Parts: sequence; structure tokens; C-alpha cells
Amino acid sequence: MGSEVLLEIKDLAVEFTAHQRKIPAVRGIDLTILPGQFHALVGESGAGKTVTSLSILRLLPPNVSNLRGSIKFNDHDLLQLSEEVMRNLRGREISMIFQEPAKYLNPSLKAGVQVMEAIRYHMGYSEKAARERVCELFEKVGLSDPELAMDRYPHEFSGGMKQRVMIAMAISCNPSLLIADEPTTSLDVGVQRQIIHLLLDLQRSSNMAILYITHDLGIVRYAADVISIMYAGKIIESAPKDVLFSSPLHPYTRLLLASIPSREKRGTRLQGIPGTVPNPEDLPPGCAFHPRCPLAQQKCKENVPPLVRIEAGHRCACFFPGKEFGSLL
Amino acid sequence: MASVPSPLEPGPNTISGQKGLRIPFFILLVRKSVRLLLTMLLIPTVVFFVLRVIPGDPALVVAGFDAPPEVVEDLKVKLGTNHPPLIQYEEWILSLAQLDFGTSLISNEPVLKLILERFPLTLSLAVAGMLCALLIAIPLGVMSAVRRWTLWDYGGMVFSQIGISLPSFWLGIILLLIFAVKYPIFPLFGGDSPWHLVLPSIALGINRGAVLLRLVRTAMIEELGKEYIITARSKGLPELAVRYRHALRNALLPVLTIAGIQFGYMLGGAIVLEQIFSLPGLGRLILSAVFQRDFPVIQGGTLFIAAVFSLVNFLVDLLYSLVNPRIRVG
Amino acid sequence: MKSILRVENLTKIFPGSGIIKRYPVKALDNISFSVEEGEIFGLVGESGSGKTTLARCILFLDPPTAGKVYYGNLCLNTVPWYQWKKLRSRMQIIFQDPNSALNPRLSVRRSLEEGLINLGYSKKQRNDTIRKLLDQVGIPYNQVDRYPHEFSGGQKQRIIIARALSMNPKFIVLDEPVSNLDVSIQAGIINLLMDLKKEFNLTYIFISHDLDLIAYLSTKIGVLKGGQLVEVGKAEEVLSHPLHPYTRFLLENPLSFHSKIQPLKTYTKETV
Repeated sequence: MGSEVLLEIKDLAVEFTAHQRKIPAVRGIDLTILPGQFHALVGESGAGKTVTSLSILRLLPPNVSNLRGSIKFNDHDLLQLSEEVMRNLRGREISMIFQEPAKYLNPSLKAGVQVMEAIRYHMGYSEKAARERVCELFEKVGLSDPELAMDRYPHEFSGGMKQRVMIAMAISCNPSLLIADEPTTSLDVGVQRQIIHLLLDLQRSSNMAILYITHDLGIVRYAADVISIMYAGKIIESAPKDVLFSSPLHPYTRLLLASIPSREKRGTRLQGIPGTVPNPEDLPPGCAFHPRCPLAQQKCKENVPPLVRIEAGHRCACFFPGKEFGSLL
Repeated sequence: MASVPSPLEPGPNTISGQKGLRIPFFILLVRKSVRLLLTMLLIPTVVFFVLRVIPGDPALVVAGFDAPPEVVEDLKVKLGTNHPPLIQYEEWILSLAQLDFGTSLISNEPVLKLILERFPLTLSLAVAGMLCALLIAIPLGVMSAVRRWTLWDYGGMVFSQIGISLPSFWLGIILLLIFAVKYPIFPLFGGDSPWHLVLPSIALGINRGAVLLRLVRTAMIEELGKEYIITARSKGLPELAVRYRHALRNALLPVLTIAGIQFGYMLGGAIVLEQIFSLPGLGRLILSAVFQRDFPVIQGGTLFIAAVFSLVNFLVDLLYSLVNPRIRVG
Repeated sequence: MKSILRVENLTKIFPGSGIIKRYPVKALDNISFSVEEGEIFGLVGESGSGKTTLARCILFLDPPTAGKVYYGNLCLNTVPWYQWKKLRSRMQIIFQDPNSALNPRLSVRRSLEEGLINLGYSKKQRNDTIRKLLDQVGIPYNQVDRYPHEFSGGQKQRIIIARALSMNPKFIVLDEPVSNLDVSIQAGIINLLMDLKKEFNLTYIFISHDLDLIAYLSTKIGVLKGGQLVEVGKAEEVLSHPLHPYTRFLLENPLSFHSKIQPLKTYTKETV
């Protein structure tokens, strides 16, 4: 079984120190990604999604004061590897795309040059061979006239095109895991759709796993295989898509799904979640969701519910999984 | 693939309108040249009228206030100040058009010839000084930024503080005392071999480099904090490539602007340094012209420096738009 | 029903930059619609479609290049500048980013007070009004002396809504009021806006890129594309019988959570 798992995060915890205050951004999460799987990590701002993804690449900012747990990638613990070995993995085995391609591309280097870098560095291609490879990649991600596109600077592309350049860059060395941090959030509906289709296409054609970070449940519904929901630095529920959407167990997941507006809900009141998203610096004791939870009891204020397996593939961190809200709302 | 392309989706190759497209370098060159030309036409006018603002007839100033009237009259004819200002202005522009800057009152040689004799030395001093400044500023600035708040950084900052505070003439004197007097490695004065330029360029370079160092450090810190650095690292690039290929490239843009302006100033002649090292440069020419009240040389020299200054700025502008593609967006 | 706002052939052209040759940009092209009292006019469009420009033009924060805007029977084009101050209080606008809409140096009380002083309220009246307003938007009154940075994004948006309400507006333009907020917070703000609308008999122009949201709350829908209003009509009609292909395209977005389009594939339990 061991070799069948691509990435296995065990009890990962990341804590930052800023202005003498400790900020527990990620508080012990377990996450498993199989080869070729589209795994969606869903959460709101401050839930710890991006920190989780940056820990996989070991690109966390320098003010990390505490890093615990293990991240096994093909049976190697990434957190134990030397910087040099890690650097060889980045961009080659694991690569990443980001929310705002405009900021994440170097403004003064031509697109072709930026895409070429990883190929030349990791695969030792000559300038000429690398150019050919970039052409190939640009065609693959849907940038027609690749020769021309290569000599363009980032600001000469539209938002969607920039994201395509980013994707070309990320897949240039055929990685087995692509981390996508809200790659379509700043894009328009049509472009969003194209980028999602492109990612799904790449995922299937080269059996590349995708860790897709988002707060957009619509995209998740459409594209994901497995979904993990994060809240305040912890994964609170994780299940295959169909299971999660047909029988969500955690009260947060259930309320979140109910709060999305739609035309069918016209005239009815939206199901909101009371309270605010907790600040990672100042988390409530026990279950971090308890101040907003209609099911909360004394037990929830004192103990942190562990993430336990409810049924095959479905895990939930709640003392009362699936309990009816009834008149509590 | 289940993708059903809709006719309304933007095609995969639309590039956002006209706005983001590059202006050909040639058009940019023409535009900037026109601007340069206008400036060049404006400079003589400004120089002319600024010098006329000095109260009293220049001839009187040149000859001295107690000079006999016929000497003054003589000078007036020589300087052309016996005509009304507008006529003078016309003559000045007309003679400039023929590259005639006038004749020195002291040596009776054409001003342009005097200037062109001195200029190569000033130019090489400026180039060497700038090189020296950049050689100090870039590596130290990058090092300071990368190892922020470490001993390296503090060292760099202390060096920069001292470099900014010490006037270059004082540094020049100290360098002279050490490396020309105590240990005579370099010549004491004169300007006929590259060896003569070493000490003054170092004195100039330390001073200018100290300013640029701070600039490089600040710009590098800013760039290293930007998102594209994470991208570069996520590609698995070695740290040196991240710093120099990605960060420094962008950090140098603001540095280039300031360095360009500094270079322009240096071309005006580092007057005091030239004096200390007895270098026959442009600065010294103008300084002695001021002492000797050699009016045509002052006027011609000022004009020349102003013209060179705008030319340098023009070149820096062009260079900047070559390095920074975002400038070339209409 | 009485029309409260009527826009006729509104066009906005930005002159564009450049010394020698300018390329004017037509941000809004000949837009006409009317909003009746008590309606929610949902305006949907993607980035760059001219949504925000339209909002600003309606309120004359940016005067339109051509066309007329009527507030009731009053033509806003002819209102002299010194009458605007009074008129502005009737028409409020709430923007997307709650962080930049509040002055970070003013406490909540001061932020809310400013407008009330302009309306000539006494100290006691002001305190009473502020207490009532904060109660209505769900901010505890004991936090009234705190500063904006002490509140979360959702709370800030509530304070901004309270500030808009304090001017007794007749209608409010809401420019993407929830897009910057967390998903779990959005529903609460939407509910609040709906409650306030009922209570104060407000009229909204609700601008968003999110068709699901617009479909949920609007009574009338306008679809903006490239500066043109390509479709406008009663919400039910636009939703069930869209005429313009672009509206259909938006309605058939497979990435919408409630889309009827089947997801591309599914994993069964056994494969996990």
C-alpha cells in the first residue's frame, strides 16, 4: 500500500512568531494524496491552507518558530531532506501555481525565459532544446503562437494568459504533484472554466496529482475527487466529493454548504453562520468552531475533537457528527 | 475532455487589447530624441539669461570696478555687450549654431577647444568613479539585503554611513597622503596616465557608492519580499539565481535612475577633487575661469555641462526602457 | 410602482492617456434602465464590464459623458453643486473593500457621528441614533469606541452599512459588498441587507460578478458586458428565459455550486 500514496502529511503543525506573539497557523493536520488525484483543500482566510502548501515545498517565511510532524513524499520525509535535495524536488517533482499570476511572474523577464529556467536547471537542456520544450508546453496550455508568446513580458498577457504561462512553468518538468493555490480566484467565469479544464486535462494525461486550494465550493463540486475542509488550522472533515456533498457530517461543512445563495433559494432566508472566523492568534479553547456551532456543548468547549474515521474514506472532527440541528438554528 | 467551448468564451489567444502591447523601441527613440532636441534648444537660452541676471555689465565685472573706462569699452566690444540684450542673444544663438562658443579672454583660444581638451579626462574620471561606486554598492548592497540584521548588514550600513558623511575631498586628501606620499604607489598629481585616475576615482566612488549602497539594499529587500521570488524558489532555482537573476534585475531599476543622475553631475567635473589631485579637467577649467573672470569660458563651460547632462539623462532614459519593459507601454 | 431612479442613454468615455495621440475608452455605452421603489436591481458583469463605473456615474461621483439620470422626477444632470451635499445623503454607496472605506484613525463612534453632525443632530440624538444603528447591524454598542482595525472584515462591512443607514437614504448602491468577505460571513451580511431593506423600505442597486447571488436576491436583473447592458428584465424572466447568449452563458456556468451540469467525474469510496 505504501508506494501507492504520493503525499502523506502526518500531524503537521506550523507556528509563526510575529511581534513576540505566537501564531499557530496549522495545528496538526493529516492529509493523504494518491497519485493522479485531484484533492481540494477548502477553507476560509486564515484557515491555514496556504501555509500547508508552502510547508510541502518548504518555502515558509523565515519567522517559523515551530514546525512539527512529517510530510512524506514517495516515502521520503520532506521536512528531513537537505536543502539541496529539496531544491531538486521543487519544480521537478512538486510545483506550484498561485492566485495572482501577475504578481507571481517576474515582471522584467520574458515569459519564455521564466518557463525555461526550471527545464534548463533540472533537466540540463541546452538553450535550443529548452526553447523547443517551451514551445511544446505553450501549445499544451493553449497559448497559440508560442514563438511570439515566449518573447513577451508578463504584462503583455491578459490575466488568464498569465495563468497559462504559470501553468506551463509548473508542469515543465512533469511533476507528480501540482499545488494550485486559488489559481482562478481573480479570473472571470469563462477564463476560470478554461483554466480548470486545462488543469483537469493535464491531470489525466500525465497522471499528475493536484492539491487545489480554494474557498470556492463551486469549483470543488465540479472538479475535485477528494475534499478536505480546513477550519482554524485543522482539517475538520475529509471525504470523497460525492460523499461529502451528499452527507456532510461536520456542522461547519453543513452550514457552509447551506449558506451558498442560489436562484432556488429566492424568497427564503439564507442560512448564515453566526460569529466571525477566529483569529489564529486568539483561538477559542476546545473545538475552534464551538462559539459558532449550534450543536456546541460543554464537552466541545473543553476538548479538541480528533479527526476520526466515520466510514471508509470519510473522516470528521466533531463530537456530534451528523447530529440534526433541529430547532437549534 | 468534456470541455465544451462556448462561442462566447474568450478564445485562448486573446491578448488584452491594445493597452498591454509594447511600443517599438524605434518609436520610443524618436519620441525621446525630440524631447532631447527641445531641451538642447532651451539650454542656451536659459544659460544666456541666467548670466545676464547678474547685475551690472559683465564687462565691468570682468575688468574690475576700478578699471579705466576705455578698457571696459574695449571689453564690451569683445564680449559683445555693447549691443542690447536681444541682439546679443541672437548673436549668441547664431554663433552657437556654428559651434562657436566664443574665445577665452585669457588665452585667446576658442572656448570649445579648451573644453574639448579637458573633457576626456573628466569623462574618464566620471566613468571610473561610477564603476568604482557600482562595484562597491551592488555586492555590498545585495549582501546587506540578503543577510539583513546580521553583522554583515550592520557592517555595510556603517560603511555606507561613513562614506556618505565623509566629503570626497577629505577622502582624496587622505588617500593622497597614504598612497602617494607615505607609500608612493600612485602619482601625486597630474593627469596624463590612467594611474593618475586611480586615487580620485576611489575617493569619488566611495562617496557615491555609499549612497547607492543604501539604495541597492532597500530595493533588494523590497524585491526579495515580492511574490515572484516564491515562484522562482518553487521552481527549485539555486539561491544565487534567485537573488541575482530575479531580484537584482528588478532592484537595479531605481538604482539605475539615481546612478544616471549622479553620473551626469560627475561629468560636470568633480571640481574640488580635480583641484586636490591637480587634474586638468573640466571642473578646474571652469573654476579658474571664475577666478580669472573669463566670461566666455564660464558661459561656454556651463552650456557644455548642461548639454552633456541632458544627453546623459537621455541615454539613461533609453537604457531604462530597455531594461524595464513596463515603461514601454502606451 | 413609482420609479425612483431612471437612467437614460448613459454613456461614459474616458479620454485615455498620451500626449500626441489618445485612445478614448468607452466604458459605458448607451445604458438605459429604471429602478422602482422597493426593488433590488441586480447588476451582473465580469471584471472590466463597467459595473463600478456605472455605479459611480449614477451617483455623479463621476459625471457621465452623455445621458441623463433621474432621481424620482429630479434630473440629476441639472442639480447645482451646492445642492449635492443634501442629495448625496439620500443615495448611499457601499464598496467592495471594507478596509479602505473606514478611516483607520476614527473610532466607530466618530465615523458614524460625522454624518449625523452634518444633519444637525444634537449630542443626545446622535448617541441614541448610533446605539440604534449598531444594534440594527449587529455590532454590540460597547464596542463603539473601538477603531476599525479591531474589527473583522464582516464587522467592518456592518459598520459601513450602519454609516450608510445613518443618512436615511432612499436607495443604496452596493458594489460587490460581500466579495471581499469569507464565505461563512457573506450570508449574514446578505441577510442583514435584506432585513434592513424591509424595515426601511430601501431600494438597492446590487452589483456583483456572482450570478448565483444576483439570482438569489434581485427583483430585476441587468447583465452588463463590455460596457453594454445586454439584457435587462424581471428577475424570474431573465433567469428562466434568458434572451441574450451571454446571459445564457453565465447561467450555464458549470463552476457554479448549484449548476445542473454534472461534474466531470466522481470517485467512489472504494478508490480512496
